[in-house]
Amino acid sequence: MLELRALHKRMGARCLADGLSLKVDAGETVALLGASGSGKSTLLRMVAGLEPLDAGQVLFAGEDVTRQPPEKRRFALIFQDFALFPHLDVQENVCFGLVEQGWPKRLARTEAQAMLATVGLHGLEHRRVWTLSGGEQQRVALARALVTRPRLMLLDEPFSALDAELRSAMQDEFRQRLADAGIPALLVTHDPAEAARMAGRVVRLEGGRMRPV
Amino acid sequence: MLRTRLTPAALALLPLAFLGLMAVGPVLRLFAEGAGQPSANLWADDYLRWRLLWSVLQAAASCLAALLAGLPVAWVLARFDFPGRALVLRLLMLPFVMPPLVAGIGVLALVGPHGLTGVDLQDTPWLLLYGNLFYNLPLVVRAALDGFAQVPQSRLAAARTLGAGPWRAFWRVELPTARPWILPALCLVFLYCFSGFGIALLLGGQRYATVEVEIYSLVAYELNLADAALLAYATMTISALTALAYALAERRLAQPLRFEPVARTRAASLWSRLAVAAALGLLFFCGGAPLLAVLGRALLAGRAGWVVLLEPDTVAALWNTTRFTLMALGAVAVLGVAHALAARRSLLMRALGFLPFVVSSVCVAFGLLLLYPAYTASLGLLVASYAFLAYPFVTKNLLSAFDAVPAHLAEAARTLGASPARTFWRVSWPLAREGFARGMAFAAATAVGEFAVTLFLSRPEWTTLTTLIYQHLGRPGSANLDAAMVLAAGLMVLALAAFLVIDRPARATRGGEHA
Repeated sequence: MLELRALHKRMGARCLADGLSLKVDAGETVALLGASGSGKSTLLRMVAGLEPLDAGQVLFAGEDVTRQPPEKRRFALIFQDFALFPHLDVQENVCFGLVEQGWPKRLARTEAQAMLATVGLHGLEHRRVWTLSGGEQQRVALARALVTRPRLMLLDEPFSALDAELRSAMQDEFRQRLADAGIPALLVTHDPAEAARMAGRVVRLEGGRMRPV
Repeated sequence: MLRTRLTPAALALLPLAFLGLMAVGPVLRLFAEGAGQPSANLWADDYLRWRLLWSVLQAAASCLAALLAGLPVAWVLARFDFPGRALVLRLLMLPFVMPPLVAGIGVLALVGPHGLTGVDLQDTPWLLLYGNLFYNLPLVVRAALDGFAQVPQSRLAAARTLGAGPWRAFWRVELPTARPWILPALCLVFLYCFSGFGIALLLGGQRYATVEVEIYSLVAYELNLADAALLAYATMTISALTALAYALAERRLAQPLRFEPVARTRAASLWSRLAVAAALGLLFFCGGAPLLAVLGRALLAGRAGWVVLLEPDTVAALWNTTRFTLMALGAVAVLGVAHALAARRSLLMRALGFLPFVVSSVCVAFGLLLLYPAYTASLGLLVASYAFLAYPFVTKNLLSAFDAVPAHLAEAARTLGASPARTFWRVSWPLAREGFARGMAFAAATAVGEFAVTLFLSRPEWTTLTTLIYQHLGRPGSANLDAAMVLAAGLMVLALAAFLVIDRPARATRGGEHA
C-alpha cells in the first residue's frame, strides 16, 4: 500500500532520513519507535506532504504521490495535541474534511453525527472542543479523521497527552476502529509497550535509517 | 511546499509601493532639503541641542515613571481577583483610543491654569510627563500583565521551595519571565513620548516643547526648512534605533502557552485589598482623571458652551472627521491585511511594518509637503496620510493574531483536504479575525484623533474636529475654552464609539488562553 523509497532529509546539521525505506501493507499498522529528535515525527510529516523531501519517493498503491500536496493525498494525520479547531464546535470539526471533499453541508452533518455516535460522542455535537475532556477530544480527532475515509492513517504520538488508564483504553479503541475500517496506519511513538499493543509490526528509526525490532 | 513563495511576494507589492510613496520618498526629499541648504550645526546651536536633549530626557523619564508605577500595578492585576477586574482590563485600552488632543486638554483641565484641582503645573515639565503617563502607564501595565501571566505556577513553586521568599521569587523568577514583554513596551513608550506631537504641542509650552513641535514651528511659522530637516534627520535616527530595539525585543513573544500559569487569588486580606485599591487609584489618576476632567469642564460650560455643537463649523468638522476616517479605513483594511499576509514569513516586511511608527507624523507631513507640492491640498493625499499613520495597527494586530494560531491547525486542515486558500479562509482567518477587528478599532481611533498631518495638509474647508478644537484653544476668552472642552468631550465620545463599534467584546475561542 504505502511504500517509502530511499527518503533523504537533512535539517541543518542533523540527518533525519538517510536512504530510509519502508512498506506498510493493506490493513497493516506499523509502529515507528525512536528517541526524541530521531526524526520520526518529521518522517510522518513527509509522508503527509507537510514537509518536503530532499530526495526519495513516497508511493501509495503504486502511485507516486511525492509531489502531491497534502490535501490531495487523503492521508489523515492525528496530532499529539489533536489540533482540533477551537473556533468550530465538535460537529463542525468532524464535518471539516467532508466539506472540503465537496459534500453538501446537510449530508456532511448527518455523516458527522453518525460518526460521533460511533465513537461514543452522541449528544456532544454542539459543544466547544476545549470544554471536552482529553479522551473526548481525542475521539473527536479520530472521528474527524475516520469520517473522511482516508487511505492511510498517520498517528503522531496520539496518546501521549492522556493519563495511563485512558491511554490504554484509547489504544484498544483505536486499534479496533482501524481494524474495522481496514485502514493501514503508521504510528509514531517513543513507548515500546504502546508500539507492541497497537501495531502488527514495529520498526525503529535510528540515524536516519529503519531497523527492525 | 505548504505555501508558494509567489503569493506573499505579490501581496507585498501594494504596501511596499505605498510605503515608498508615503514614507521613503518624503523622507529622502526631507534629507535632500537639509543637505541642499546652509543650516545651523545641531551640536553648536544651544537652542536646537536643548530641544533634542529635552526630547530624549522627557521620553526617558516617562519610561522610568511608567515602569516604576506600571510594574506594581500589573503585578496586582495579574495576581489578584476582585470584582470588576475584567472591566478594569478592558478600560486599560481606553487611553490608547483617545486622541492626543483630548488627553492634553484633559490634563490641562485637571492641573493646568484654572484646573479643576486648583494645582497649576503650567510651564513645568510635570504637565508633559503627566500627559505621557496617560498613554504609557496603561501600555506598560498591559505588557507587564501579559508577562506576569506567563509565569508558570510550577516555576514559582520551585523557587519558593528552594528558599526564595515572595520578594526574592519576584525578582528572580517573575520579573525575568515577564521581561521579554516589558522591554518592547518600554521601547514603544520611548518612541511614543519622543515622537509624539499633539500632547507635546499642548502641554510642553514654549519651554518644554519637544523636537516634533519645534519642527512644526520651524516649518509652519518660520519657513526654516533647513533647520527643520536637520532636526527631522536627528529625530528619525533616534526613532529608528528605538524601533530596531523594539523589533529585536519583540521577536521572542507569541509563543503559545504550554503550562499552568500562576492562579489568581481573591483579594481577601487587608494587605491585598490595599494593594488593589492603590493600583486602581494610580490607574485612575493617570488614565481616568483627565478624561473625567474633560467631561466635568464640558458640563460646567453650561448651555452657552454646548451651543457650539450646533454651529455650522462643528457640523462641517464632524462630517469631515467622519468621512476622512471612513475613507482612510477602506484603505487601511486593504493595506493592513496585505502587509500582514506578506509579513507572516518575512522579517523584512515585519520590520517595514514599523516604518509608519518610526517616521513621525510631523516629519511625514513635512516630507509630503516638499515632495508633492502640487497635491498638498488634495483629498487623496490627506486620506492616504491618514491611512499611512493608521494601517500599521491592523498589520501589527493581525500579525500577532496569525502568529498565535498554532501551525499544526493549518496542517491538520491540509491533511483533511483543504487547499492553502481554503485553509486560510476556514482556519487561519477565523482565528485571527479578532486581531483584524482590534487593529481596525485602533486605526479608526487614530484617524478620528489625527491632528498633525491635518494641520499641514488640510484646506480651511476641511477642518476636522481636532483642528477645530485647536483653533478654539488658540483664541482668547473663556467662551472659546468652554467650546474646546465641549468639542473635546464630543471627540472623546466619537473615538470611544468608533472603538466599541469595531472592537466588540471577543467571543472566547480557546478556553484557558484568555487571562
